[in-house]
Amino acid sequence: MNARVLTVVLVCVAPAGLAAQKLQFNAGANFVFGDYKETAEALHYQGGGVGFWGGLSKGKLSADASFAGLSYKPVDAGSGFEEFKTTQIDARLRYYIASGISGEVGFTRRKMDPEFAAQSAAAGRVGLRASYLLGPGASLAVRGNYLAGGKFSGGGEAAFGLEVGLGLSVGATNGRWRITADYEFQRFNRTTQAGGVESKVPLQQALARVGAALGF
Amino acid sequence: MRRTLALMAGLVLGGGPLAAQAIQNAALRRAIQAYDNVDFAQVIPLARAALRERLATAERARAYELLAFSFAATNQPDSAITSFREVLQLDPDRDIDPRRVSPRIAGYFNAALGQVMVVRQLDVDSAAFVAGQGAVPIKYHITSSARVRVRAVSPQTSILIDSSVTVGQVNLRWPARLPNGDPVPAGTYTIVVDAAAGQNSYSASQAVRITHGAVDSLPHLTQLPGYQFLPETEVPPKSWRPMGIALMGVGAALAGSLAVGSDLGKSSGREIGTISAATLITGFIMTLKKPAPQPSRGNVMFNQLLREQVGRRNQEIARDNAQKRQQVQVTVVPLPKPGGVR
Repeated sequence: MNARVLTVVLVCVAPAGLAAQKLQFNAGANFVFGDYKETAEALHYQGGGVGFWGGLSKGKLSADASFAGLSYKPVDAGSGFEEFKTTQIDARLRYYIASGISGEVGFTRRKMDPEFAAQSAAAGRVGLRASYLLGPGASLAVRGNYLAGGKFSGGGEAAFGLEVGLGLSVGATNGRWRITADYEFQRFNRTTQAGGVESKVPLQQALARVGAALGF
Repeated sequence: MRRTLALMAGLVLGGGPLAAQAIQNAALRRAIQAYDNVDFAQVIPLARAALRERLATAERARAYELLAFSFAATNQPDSAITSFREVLQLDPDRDIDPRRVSPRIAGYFNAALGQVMVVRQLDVDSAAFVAGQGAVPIKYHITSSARVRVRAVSPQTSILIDSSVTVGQVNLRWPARLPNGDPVPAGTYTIVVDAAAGQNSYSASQAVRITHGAVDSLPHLTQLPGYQFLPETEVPPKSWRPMGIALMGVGAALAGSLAVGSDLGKSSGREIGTISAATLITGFIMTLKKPAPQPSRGNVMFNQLLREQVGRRNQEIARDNAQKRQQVQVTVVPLPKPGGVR
């Protein structure tokens, strides 16, 4: 818990501390569509929505935060499973290391509505992000995060959580405008204890965000 | 023999500087006429008669020269030498061309030179230099050993340039500075060469004008001569690298997703498919496009080094210019002689 608080403070306070300096600010909006699975193959949902994100960068340090709101429906309409809405907030603080590689920390928080239609989840993240220039104004980023300290609305714990991401950005070479596309896959190997018996109840979500961004 | 000597001497006299000047004195004109007619018996009394009259210095020198050549032509060496001495006293810069007169006459002239004490061929070269970093060349010829004092004299001051016992050709370099090291004030100076040996003394002079000016300062540099700033980015050659990167990125995302998510059944794949397709298409397009300029580390370092060198050189120039603004450019120009010899 303390780690999450510290991460929030870092993500929120560090950009404010840099405000007096020359910062680069980016913001964008996107369409989001996702694929959500939980526990077994039958609990399979797909949906879409919108999202927003904003980021600051100064020298080797950068931070960004994103919001996505989706409405999920069961893939199998006759299964009787309930539709639900989800809001997801992600925050990341990055420090450039070398050769396009940055280290990043942050958190992810996903909340379901209705609350018990699916598992709300939250976790800290730590990992690496590799960014490469494809050509004039085009760049690609691959990221891998370990999702630590996963908490779920239905209890249980996840010793292992992983996030894999692939980001694409194409636009003006000066960064004023860009088309962005981002893929994010999250997996929690959640387990629960019921009557002394451990049950595997994994959950995973794949999100694709396609949108536009402006840079200042 | 006498006729040959006379012809050679006449050649010399006819070509000399005095011949070009209008002769005012009638006796001297008749003496010249007689000399031209090789009538030395008439030249000698006519020249002597002219010398008894009031003559300009140049005319007196001409009369003595006529006598000297006539005595030489009539085998009177002592008188020839004496006459040459008088010529040298009147016009110390007078010279004869040994290629155009007989060796005997040249010998008489040289003998006369050895018997007089005169300062000949005083010459002050023009010069321009920064005070304290140059000098004015002064040269003269003293015909016999004497104590020679060279001074620069103006109405306000008299500066001793050199004092020595010397003979023959003397070359001096005058820094044009006062004893306290300051450059001599601008103005007109007379370089006076005083020679003294026993009861004999002689003086020659040359007027010069000294002017002061500002020393040129150096402009600051924007780049070093011979070196140019290099572009700090360079466009790499076209390659399949963008496509390769796109494939690796897609592969990594796909592998990561499949490796940990396969136990929950088959996904639709639209999310990874959409983003992967966009990534691969972008990679392919970027492969065909001209690559983005990349920072050239070597050029950046070279430019940084060059900027440091230019900055360092400009600091040196600024220091030099600060000194130059305190310096004085001294220009020395000799003035034409008014024609007066002692």
